[in-house]
Amino acid sequence: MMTTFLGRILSLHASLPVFVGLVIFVTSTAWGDDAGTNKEIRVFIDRQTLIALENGEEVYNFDIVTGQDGKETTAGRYHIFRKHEKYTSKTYGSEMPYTMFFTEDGKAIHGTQMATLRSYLHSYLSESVGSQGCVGLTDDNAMALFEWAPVGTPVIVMSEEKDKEK
Amino acid sequence: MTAKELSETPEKVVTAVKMLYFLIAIGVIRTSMTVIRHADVRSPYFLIFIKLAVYALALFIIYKISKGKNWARWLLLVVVTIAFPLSILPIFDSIAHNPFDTLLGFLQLALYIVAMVFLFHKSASSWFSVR
Repeated sequence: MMTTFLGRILSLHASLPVFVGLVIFVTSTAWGDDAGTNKEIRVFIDRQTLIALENGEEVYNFDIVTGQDGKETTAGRYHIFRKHEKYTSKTYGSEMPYTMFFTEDGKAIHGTQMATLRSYLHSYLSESVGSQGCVGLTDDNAMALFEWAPVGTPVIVMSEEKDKEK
Repeated sequence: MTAKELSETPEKVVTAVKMLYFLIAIGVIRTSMTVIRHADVRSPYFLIFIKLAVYALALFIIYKISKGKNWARWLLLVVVTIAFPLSILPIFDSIAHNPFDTLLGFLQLALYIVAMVFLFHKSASSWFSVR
């Protein structure tokens, strides 16, 4: 009787790591898009473009408009932590469709008016046509990115000028 | 070219003008599709206002071209030349997620090129030069 009881306890101890491993495997696969795939957004300030990567493969390559002089989009590594399909800026009162926030001070990727034209002007003529620090795309492109990128997707903002300063 | 031939609108100009009006119609369809796609998240007034202004200007230029105004033909050439690179890259952007819009966009660009070739054809240029 006693040996049977001890045997069961020992058997449970032995199967514990297997059980824990199973739980980790199930939970990691159950999150699917959020944790299972390798998605990443890279923002190139100098080129005024954004690329979306999945498992190292380029999925999207969009023109963007980033921050104007004095309100630059800051280079760094972030991640999307909040998404709103419809959003209005509390600071500027402007519409921000398909918003994905990636900094605590309110910088986001979102749809904006005349994004393509402003992107070219920002690249070749003047940064004064830029945004208030957000990453602006056309509404169509913002919608595609919004549907593609889950919360938690890394956002890497790169600036060659900043790299040169370092 | 005879005087009679110069008084009549060349076939190439007639065709080009029809194509330009057709292009406006495609533009209205694309704008409507954009407005409908984002109706839940963005008010359409700014886009509609901008597009109406652009279409009104385009209709005015096309009308003047149909009346043989040479400056209108050259103005359209300048506008198309500037707009072409600004339009072609966003069209490529939308291939992955909006192929119908991409198709219409390419159709527009192709028609613009053909229309401009017709408007600057030898027979058309002779007609514009005497009006």
